[in-house]
Amino acid sequence: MLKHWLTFIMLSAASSSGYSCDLNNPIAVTATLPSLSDDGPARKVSLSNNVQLDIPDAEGVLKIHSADSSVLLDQLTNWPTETGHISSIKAQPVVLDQNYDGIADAVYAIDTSGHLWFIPLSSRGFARPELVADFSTMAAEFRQPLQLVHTLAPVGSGQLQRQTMLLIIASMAEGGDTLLVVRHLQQRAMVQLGDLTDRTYLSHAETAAGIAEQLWQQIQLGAGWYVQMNKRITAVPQVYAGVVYLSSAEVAAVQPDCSLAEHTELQIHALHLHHAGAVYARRHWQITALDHGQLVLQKNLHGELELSLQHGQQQHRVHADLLAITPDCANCVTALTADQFPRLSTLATFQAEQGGH
Amino acid sequence: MTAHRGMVLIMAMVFLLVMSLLISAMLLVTQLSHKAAYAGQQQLQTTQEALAQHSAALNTLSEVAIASRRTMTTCPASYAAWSGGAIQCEVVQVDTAAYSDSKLFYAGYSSLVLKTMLIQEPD
Repeated sequence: MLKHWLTFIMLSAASSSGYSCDLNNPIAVTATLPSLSDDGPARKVSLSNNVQLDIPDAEGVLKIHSADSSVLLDQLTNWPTETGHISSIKAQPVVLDQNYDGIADAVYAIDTSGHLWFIPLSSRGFARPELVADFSTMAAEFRQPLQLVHTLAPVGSGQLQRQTMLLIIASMAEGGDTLLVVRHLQQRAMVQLGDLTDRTYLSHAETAAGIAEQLWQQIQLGAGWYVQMNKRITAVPQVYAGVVYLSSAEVAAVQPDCSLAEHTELQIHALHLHHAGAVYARRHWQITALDHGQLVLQKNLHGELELSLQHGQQQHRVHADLLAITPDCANCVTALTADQFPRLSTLATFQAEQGGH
Repeated sequence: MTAHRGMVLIMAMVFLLVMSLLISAMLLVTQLSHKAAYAGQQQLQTTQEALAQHSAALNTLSEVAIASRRTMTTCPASYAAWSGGAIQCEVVQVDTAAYSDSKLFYAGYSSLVLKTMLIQEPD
């Protein structure tokens, strides 16, 4: 009986401390910056936030250090706000390579209040930050790592447009976590929660027949979507073939190391990247494993792809018969199989002829 | 009488010379025509052979045909997008060439191929 009470008190303490379960990688994000001279080699650098700098409660700061010598190359402490300061940056930032040349072009960072920043990078370091989104009205803490996905997203007229999508986790002490997916377009004004489509609940009609065309068009023209989980997200969301997979559990049952209390059921979510609708028969389902870990895509002994939870050497199969979304229609999917990889696509072919008889 | 015989002989020889020239010219023209026709055909054959060879190399992505490869830090955007650590992409340059029998004609193809691979732990 005493043991149960102790467990209860420990769980209560964990949940009352608020935002348990840190999904950030303790290692600083690395990037490649161009050389200071025209013909010099590119430089490997690391990007540190408040946590890595060991000042978690200070005002928001980002620093660039040389990956080789740990020499400070640049720091960002003065932000374009009224006070010049922002809240602490605890979420792992993400690096954007816009033109695929291997050199970092910008970095996205979010402070704990929910201000999402786009910071262009140059050979000298940080350029002036631009405020992409302000989710401070949610009164949530944004401390989980940012995720970046390069997509070709439909833009209403049937055309696909290249976009950068950011997956953001907002944590509320008692209300659980909310997954926000924001499309960043350079020409778009600052995004707020009202600009995102609330996809927490699906209508009965959508559950039965898929997303309605009108709603699909509306989402295409919007800035993204969000889903209130009302649970704590326990693994970094992963996007596989256009499907966002994540795991969640009851807020009170999630321990600081992201493991679960005994007899807690883990919920697996699979959401359409572009509209958060269902890809499989259901958008989420329970799994019996009382385990935690990272979601990974694995090839099993039969050579088939499956989604697993991995923790150290332990693995637990979460889902087989995986699907990939296709751009043919809003609800179109196709099987995702291992034999589709490696996938080869010809980008260009040149022909040359020389000589004669 | 002797002068007449000489004239006949000369005329006969001139006639034979003209005839032999005509025959030689006709033979030459025929050979050239044949050669010209054959050259075009062989050029087409060589081009076709080069294309078939290139298509086969693209399907198998054989190491012999790979001229260069560059691993991308980020995979190109796609509708069915992936998280950064899930897939890896590389741009491969595939070069193939074919020569005609006489080695005087060359047809070559060069392609840039995007190879997308899954990153996963061995099971």
